[in-house]
Amino acid sequence: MSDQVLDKRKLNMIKVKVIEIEKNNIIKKDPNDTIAETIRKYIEKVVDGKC
Amino acid sequence: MLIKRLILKNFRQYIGEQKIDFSTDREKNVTVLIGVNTSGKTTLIRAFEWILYNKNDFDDKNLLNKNVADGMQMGETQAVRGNLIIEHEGVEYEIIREQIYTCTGSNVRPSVSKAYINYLQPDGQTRTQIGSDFDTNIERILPRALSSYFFFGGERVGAISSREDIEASVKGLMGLDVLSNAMSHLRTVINKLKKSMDFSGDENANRAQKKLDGATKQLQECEDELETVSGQVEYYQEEKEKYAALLRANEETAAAQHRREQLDDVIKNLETRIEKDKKELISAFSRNSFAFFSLPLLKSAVQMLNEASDDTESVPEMTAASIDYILRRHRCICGTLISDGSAAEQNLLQEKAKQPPESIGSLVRRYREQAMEYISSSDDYYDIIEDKFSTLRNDQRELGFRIDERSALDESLKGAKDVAFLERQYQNAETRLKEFEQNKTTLLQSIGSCKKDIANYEKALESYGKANEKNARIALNVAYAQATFDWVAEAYKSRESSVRSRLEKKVNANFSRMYHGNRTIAIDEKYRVKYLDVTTEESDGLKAVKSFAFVSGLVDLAKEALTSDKSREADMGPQYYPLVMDAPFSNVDETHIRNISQILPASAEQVIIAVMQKDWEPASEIMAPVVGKSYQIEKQLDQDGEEIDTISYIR
Amino acid sequence: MFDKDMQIRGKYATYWKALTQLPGNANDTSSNTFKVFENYIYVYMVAPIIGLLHGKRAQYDPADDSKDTAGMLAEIQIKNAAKLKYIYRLIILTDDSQGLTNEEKINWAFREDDNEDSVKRGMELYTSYFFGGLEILYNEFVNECITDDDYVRKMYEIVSEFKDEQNIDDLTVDVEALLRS
Repeated sequence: MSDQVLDKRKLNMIKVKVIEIEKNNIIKKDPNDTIAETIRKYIEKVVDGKC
Repeated sequence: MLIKRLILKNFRQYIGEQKIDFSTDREKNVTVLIGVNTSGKTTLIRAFEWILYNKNDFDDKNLLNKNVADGMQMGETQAVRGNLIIEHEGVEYEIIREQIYTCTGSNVRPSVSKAYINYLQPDGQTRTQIGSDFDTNIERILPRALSSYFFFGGERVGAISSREDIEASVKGLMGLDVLSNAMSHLRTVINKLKKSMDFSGDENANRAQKKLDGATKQLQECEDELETVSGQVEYYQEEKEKYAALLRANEETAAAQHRREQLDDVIKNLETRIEKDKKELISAFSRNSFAFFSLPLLKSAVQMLNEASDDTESVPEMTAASIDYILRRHRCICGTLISDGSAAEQNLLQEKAKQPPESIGSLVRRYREQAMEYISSSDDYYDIIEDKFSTLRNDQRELGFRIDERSALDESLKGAKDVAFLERQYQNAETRLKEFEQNKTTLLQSIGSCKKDIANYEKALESYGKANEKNARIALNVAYAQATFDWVAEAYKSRESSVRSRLEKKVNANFSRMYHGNRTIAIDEKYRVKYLDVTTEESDGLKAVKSFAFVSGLVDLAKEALTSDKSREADMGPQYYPLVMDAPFSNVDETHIRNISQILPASAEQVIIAVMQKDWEPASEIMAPVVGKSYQIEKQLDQDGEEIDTISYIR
Repeated sequence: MFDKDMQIRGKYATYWKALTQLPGNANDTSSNTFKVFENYIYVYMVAPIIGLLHGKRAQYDPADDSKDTAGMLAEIQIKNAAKLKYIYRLIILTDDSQGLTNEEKINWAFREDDNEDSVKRGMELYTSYFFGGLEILYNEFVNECITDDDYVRKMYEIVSEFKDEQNIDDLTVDVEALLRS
């Protein structure tokens, strides 16, 4: 998959969001599937989006 | 986090409402609570744990002050309350826990305790209660798993640096858990995305997908098995080390066993010698004892004889033979004629009858000579007896020592294990270890080739997938997810090893400042603290120092991370915590106390210690410049001046 | 004297045996296992001395019906005749129970060996001190000692104390030293 050209800004947004989600989850302790789902949804949104 | 104030109401022996303001000064950051013996230091530490985590480790679970409880009427209620005021991330919080006790006539019954947190608004005035989950919020401020590192009592000190759940806690402390969670979730996302790619229309893609599924499954199986095998490898490694250490210790046992056999011979010889000594004593005692004991009698006899030989002697040296001669020649020495039947002849015959075969003088002389012989032999008598006696005593004493020595050896040998058994176990462990390591290598190879296969199939799928627009989109998501994953993994790896090596360095630095010996500490991947030179006994003092070194290293590291450059992207700095300790010096000798006192204030933002008066003395001098506040815990005295156990005051 | 097999009976025989290591064929009637003297003859020599020192004589007790016996053959006595006779004479010289003058004692001790009657009386005196000494020794040792160590210590004690008592005449007795010791 390394031959894909990725948008730097989009990638950064995802990175920041993932860390934020994980930090919050240290306390909340949602189940793994929920978190994975949240992350996936966000990636989809960013990748599909134009911003 | 800074602890500002503790208020207790009727909590155990602290009757009424009592408060402690802790020092929050940056320089004088130590607060000391000094008690005389059992006046409630541990209770104060446990008060923290009760307020924060509802933990009640007391033997008697009733927290209500006994005096108050005794004075209650039936149906009356009293409250036990604890308030903890802390500052966390610039905000002041008040944590309150309360438990109501109702008097049932003979007893008091507690209710379930209730807890809530208030926080002070930035304007410094209003307090707002946080409605949501108490435990969650406390967890955010001071996680329960970590709490036992920062609130610890003297007895638990030794156990800390060998706990196995340290790994998780350290990771939490250093923010590594965020990263590792991210990695695992991203992996899930990637797998899900890949799975969601649809190749149902495409024969080639289907086949490739099936192959990929197969390979993935096999990979999973191999990885699972690898984990098991790794576990076995670790287990047998430890077994091997364990038996190696036992065998090393056993060399001493072999020497001890040999010594013991030698002792058996020595003891048998001594016993024989002692019997001989006794016989010799008896013999010495028997022979010539008469001479020794007759000494005083002899002296008086000899004296008598000396006197007597003067008057019983009529004519010196006159013998019967002499008289016979005179009688035969019928003429006395003086010339007088002695005729048969004459009076002179009668006198001479009477005289002759009195004479012994020899003169009294020579008899006495001979007797005296004999006596002198016996006297001189008795001179030796005492010396010989004394000599035999002391030889016997020495041998008996020696026997006593040897028997003691043998008993001591027996004691120490009792625990010793059969060497042959140890050898077998060691060999067994080594063999199994080799087996499993071999196993592991094979598995790793399989895993390697599985991964290669998977990569190939994925590539194949990718090329099939590109054609499909939906799949293309998914593939793109996967790419972003993967890139994020790689970034997190990289950060985790470098951070983790940096954390561990920095921690190791700090702990060693602390350790060498606290302990005046030659030891190096290593921290393994599970964050367990090990000495590099293994298997010798650890004294309590050493355990305590090891734990301090570890914990203060941890706190130090955390502090460093916080004050490091905040402008980096997505910083996830950990928190810093105060150190709250109960009897930190109780099992440690004076030199160690001094060393620890020098380090402690600098190793945490805030240090709170509860000590006994006698333990505080050696430390107080050194810590004086950094003590911000100090309190005495005293028991109340009754009218006779005796201490009341159930009532204490903090002044 | 001292040239015939001799034997005693009753409790004094028991005492004698209790104090002495017995030859293999003897019947040990005593209850103690530690024997203070090596041989009968040594007891026969020192017991009279002990009796004499304490002024103690003893006779057969008519009420004593014990059948126990102990004795010695002529041979061992003849071998030690010189010592035995020496002791015999010493007893006669130092005994005060017969009311004799010094001259009479000396005569009895030295001049009357071929007088059957004198020798008989002399041996009676010897035997009476022998019995007395046996009783003293038995009380000191067998009645007071139990373990081997008790006996050993007692042996040493007796000898040391006796020696110290002899030395008392020679030394000036110092009150200060006595108080300090």
